[in-house]
Amino acid sequence: MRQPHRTELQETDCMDFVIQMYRAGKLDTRMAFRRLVKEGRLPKRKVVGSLYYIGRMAAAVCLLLVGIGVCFRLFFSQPQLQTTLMAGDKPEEYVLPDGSKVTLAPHAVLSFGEGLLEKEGKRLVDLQGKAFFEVVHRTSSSFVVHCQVAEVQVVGTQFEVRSTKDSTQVWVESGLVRFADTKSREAVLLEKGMQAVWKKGADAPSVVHRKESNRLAWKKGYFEYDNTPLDVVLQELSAYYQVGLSAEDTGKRLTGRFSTRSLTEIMEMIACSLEVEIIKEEERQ
Amino acid sequence: MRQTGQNAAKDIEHAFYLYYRPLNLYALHYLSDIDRVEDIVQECFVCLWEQLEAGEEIADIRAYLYRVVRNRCVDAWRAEEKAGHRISSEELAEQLPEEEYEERSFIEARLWTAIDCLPVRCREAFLLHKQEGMTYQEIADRLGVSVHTVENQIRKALKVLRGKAKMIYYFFFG
Repeated sequence: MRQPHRTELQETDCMDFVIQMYRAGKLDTRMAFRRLVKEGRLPKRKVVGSLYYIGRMAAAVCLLLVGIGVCFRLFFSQPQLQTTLMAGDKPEEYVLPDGSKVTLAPHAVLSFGEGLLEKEGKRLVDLQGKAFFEVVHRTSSSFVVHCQVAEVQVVGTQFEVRSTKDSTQVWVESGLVRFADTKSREAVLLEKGMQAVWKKGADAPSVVHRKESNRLAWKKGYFEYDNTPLDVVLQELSAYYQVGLSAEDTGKRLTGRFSTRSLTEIMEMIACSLEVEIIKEEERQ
Repeated sequence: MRQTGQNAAKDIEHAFYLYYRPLNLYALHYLSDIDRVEDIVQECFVCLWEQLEAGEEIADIRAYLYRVVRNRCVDAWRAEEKAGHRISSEELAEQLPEEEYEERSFIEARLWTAIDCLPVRCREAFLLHKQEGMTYQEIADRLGVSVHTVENQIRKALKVLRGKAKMIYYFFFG
């Protein structure tokens, strides 16, 4: 049986309790975790960083396949061995057989043929969804990301690809990327900081020059702001979490680093440090 | 299969960031020594990791952590009770409706975060008032600012925290 106003009572209780217990500098989650890892009592999560791990990777892939219940034959009819990598609800980082690194966004699927060397002089992978690539440079062999709408070809660089059935979007972090339609008739070259979208059925991609410092927040796990106007921050967060955020006083500026784990926490921290009220769209009556 | 090792490592890191602070606040309802509490909670994570590493399947990590933390706190409490520093176990049982404290611990963790986020001077004045029971005048003298400033800072802190508590409820139950 719940008494009326129980939540309000509880609220005051919680507040009094926390105020009495509070000691500055205690309960520092990040520091505690780092210390335990350093003492070797908790595991260090390693990026799978070398070719020796491929066996393990293959095992992971098998597990994932069985676990998620997806059969790779569903995607590819070729008889040769295909490897499929995918991410569940969290981004996943993999090292490909050629040493290139790929970070798959949640629910993205990447597949490639045996040893990546399906065609001569080309390292070919297929992508559905969003992924970030850090390609190992090889002069003799370019790296090709094949998407439904277009393909992206590079020699050695870092870039993000978002592939859906209607469009392919590329954003270049460093290096040079060749962005072509699937038949390679039309192509553009993209440099660092450039982004381009190829819509299905379009003759050429549209190229955008825009500074997006938090483009890779999904991969890095945090947003970083340096004297950024609050309205820009709210726009970015709204797009990332697919909500509508607004504030009365958007003239203020924000500096700091915020984990992508919880929007609630980010909102609290912003509200707290800038002393503004942030309104979430769903909450408006 | 070694691969589980990588996933388990990821799981434990995730769990640590999600539950470390709430678990500490939960344990603080049992034991008031914060350093001891932090040690106990950290031990519990190490214990969880050892289980996972041994290939043990743990379906509900959160429930597991809360259970282990509670057991260890009760053990610690009993040890102190024997030494004569504490009230009896019956009274203890009365004092601790477990689920409610588990639920509360998340709200408390957010409030802790909110206090952490207060501007340093504002937090200092606020805590001197609330924890030490100092008057505005005493705080003003200690910090070398005007009584008016102290008033403002404490009002500001309370406003932020109250707003936070409300907002938290919105997210938790709304």
